[in-house]
Amino acid sequence: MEQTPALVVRDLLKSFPSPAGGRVEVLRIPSIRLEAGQQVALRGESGLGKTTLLHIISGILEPDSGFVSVGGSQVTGLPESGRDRLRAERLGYVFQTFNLLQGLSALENVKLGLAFGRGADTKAAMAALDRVGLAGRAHHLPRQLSTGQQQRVAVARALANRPCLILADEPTGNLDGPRSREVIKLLRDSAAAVGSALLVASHDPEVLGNFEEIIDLAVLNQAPPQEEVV
Amino acid sequence: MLFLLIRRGLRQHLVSTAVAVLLVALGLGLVISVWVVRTEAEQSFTRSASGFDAVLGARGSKLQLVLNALFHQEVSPGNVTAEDFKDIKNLPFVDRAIPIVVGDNFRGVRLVGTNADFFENLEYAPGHVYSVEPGGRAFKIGEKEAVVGSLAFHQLGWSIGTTFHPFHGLDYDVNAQHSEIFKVVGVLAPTNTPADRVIWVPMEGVQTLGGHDPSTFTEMSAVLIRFKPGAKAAGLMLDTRYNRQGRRLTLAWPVAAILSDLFSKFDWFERALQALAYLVAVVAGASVFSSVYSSMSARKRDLAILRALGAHRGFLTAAVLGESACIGILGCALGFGLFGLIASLVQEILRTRIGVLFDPWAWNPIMVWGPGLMLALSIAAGAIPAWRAYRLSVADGLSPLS
Amino acid sequence: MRYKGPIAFLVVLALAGSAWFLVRARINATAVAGTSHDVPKPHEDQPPHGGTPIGLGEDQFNLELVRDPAAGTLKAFVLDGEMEDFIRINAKVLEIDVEHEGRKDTLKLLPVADAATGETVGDTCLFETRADWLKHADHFKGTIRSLAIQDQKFQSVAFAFPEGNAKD
Repeated sequence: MEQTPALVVRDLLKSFPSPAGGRVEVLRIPSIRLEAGQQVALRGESGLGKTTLLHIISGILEPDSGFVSVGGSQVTGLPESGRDRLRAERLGYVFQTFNLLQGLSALENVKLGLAFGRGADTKAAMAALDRVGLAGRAHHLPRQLSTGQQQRVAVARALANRPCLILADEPTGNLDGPRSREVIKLLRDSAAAVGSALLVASHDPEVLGNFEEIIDLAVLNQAPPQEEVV
Repeated sequence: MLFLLIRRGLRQHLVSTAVAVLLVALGLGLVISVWVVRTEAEQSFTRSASGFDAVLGARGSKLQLVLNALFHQEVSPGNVTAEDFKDIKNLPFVDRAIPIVVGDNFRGVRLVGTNADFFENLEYAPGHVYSVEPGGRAFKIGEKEAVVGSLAFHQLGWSIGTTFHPFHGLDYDVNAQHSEIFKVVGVLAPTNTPADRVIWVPMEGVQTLGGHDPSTFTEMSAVLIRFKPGAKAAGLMLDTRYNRQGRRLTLAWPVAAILSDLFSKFDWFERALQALAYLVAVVAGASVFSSVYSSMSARKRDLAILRALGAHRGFLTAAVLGESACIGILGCALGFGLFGLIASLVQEILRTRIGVLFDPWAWNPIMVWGPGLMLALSIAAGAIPAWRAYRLSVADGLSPLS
Repeated sequence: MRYKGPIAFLVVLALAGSAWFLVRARINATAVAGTSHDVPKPHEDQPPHGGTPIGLGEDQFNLELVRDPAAGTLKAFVLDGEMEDFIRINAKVLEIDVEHEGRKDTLKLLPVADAATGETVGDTCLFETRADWLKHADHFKGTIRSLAIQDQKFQSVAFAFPEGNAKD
């Protein structure tokens, strides 16, 4: 039986208002397809629209036109509440660094990944922390963790709800080479363990070198080149 | 998760949260204090009128008469003759008529002369009569004996059998000592009325002290009057006779209305205090706004992350409003504590200076609408930050920090 | 939206609380403005003892007649035009010609001294007389022969008791 693809993007178009008036086309993507469990890197220099694409896939932004579905559920055309729910239930998101809530412990941050979907489940959150080797630091605050440990907590949070797709936007932005490799390996292994597809956006060759499949956004995106995307 | 976020959010900005809570507490404490002290003080004074309906005295101010005869403050406006006393005592609708003679003191504590009727089942409140504590007895008429009010007894550090020289006048003057000696024979059982603050002696004991005008030996400062139950027109009739038809005496009636007029004289002061209290409440609201607004601004990225994780706009709004509500609730709890402190102080002052029992915890609607107001103000102060949280652009909030 | 309920509740609470505050502030202002327990205020143009008012002249003064059937007495109080103040006069007698059940008589009301009010004969507002028939006479006609109050003199003032002599 054919598995539902983790991600389908078709004829995606996104533009933003231009400061000079009119609109600036930022993304024109004919097609992206990720199968269930597939792990892909998205290459693109800063300003090419990687983050915008991830935001559209996750429903944070709406495209001008086009089709996006995650795990078989259509994202485009959903009302905002539907997209919020979809993010909570089917997606995991790893942001750039400093993406933990400073006032919450590691365990509480992971529970956030569950809270808006099936509900904050302490057992599931502890299991996710354990998977990234930080069960012993469940009650530490972010400031009591190293940068690498903070990012591992972020990975645990993204995995906690066993999403069908994990999006990671420059997840190693502030880490040195060894830590960077460590986080990517953890991300890949953890995603594979829960069966989540993985899409990592990065411009860093160190990151990209960990993936067999790479999508080059500069090639894929057919929007006219811009000097700067705001 | 919502309450966890609210708690942690408040803790993360502890200083501004604490300041806002303190200001809310101050606002509520002041609002309740001003309100309760005004309303309850007036009722306390009325209750302390010791169950008398009217006071007969020399021509003058009704308020002065009431304050002098019932609260043992002020000077007496003049004297009432023995015939006046007999005249009113014998009226068919008068239940009790108790004479009062003042004009002397012991170290500032007033001596009040009265007759034996004072200890004859005289009620100062429903079901409570003036009586002497065990171990003592009422004074004998004609003797230089004293029954001391419980507050005065402890204030002076006396015991049964203590003797003392009274001093002439209502204020203590060391050079105005009378040669006569009085002996303490009893302590008045506590009444929580101004009667506890004075020294009760036989009327003649005051009237005939050395240096007093012999022609006034049978006169008295005032007569305390209680009407018989059901004698509704009695007060109006006597008011017509003494106050309108007559020119020699004044009947202070009804006592409650006269006291109410006294308090209404302080309206301007009360309004000023109320305005101050409400101003503090508004400042407290502004402080809540400032605290929540700056907290929210500092946590813009956190809020964006929450949205990215699937939180609805409403969740963020509820979190912000919840923070301001929590500040309001904490502030209100502390505010009651502050009110308790202020009320205790007022209670002590009224008790020791005037002998009036002030009960600040008696039911008053302000206990409900006061905190309701402060809570509403706190929540309203969180409205703008909550609206900003609602309108938060997730994409902008997730923008890289560098 | 899952939190619509709590938000709506909080907003309603805030609005209700603010409205309550405004109402209470207004009530408080009203209460403070007019707190008077049952303070008796003299009613204008109402006889102070509930007796029969007899207007004198163009209502410059009044006489209030009060009958006590038990004692068989008739009292007359001299009052001002609004029946608020008692007016003391030095009259030695107040004579009233009366007609009751066909019989004619003259009542002589004498000045009353009252130590409580400070009134003396020659300086009093109260005149009184006693007659047995007053115990039973709840209706009669009368004419005040002559009465001098301050610098005015009133003569032959007719009235009916207890109706009085009001013109309207």
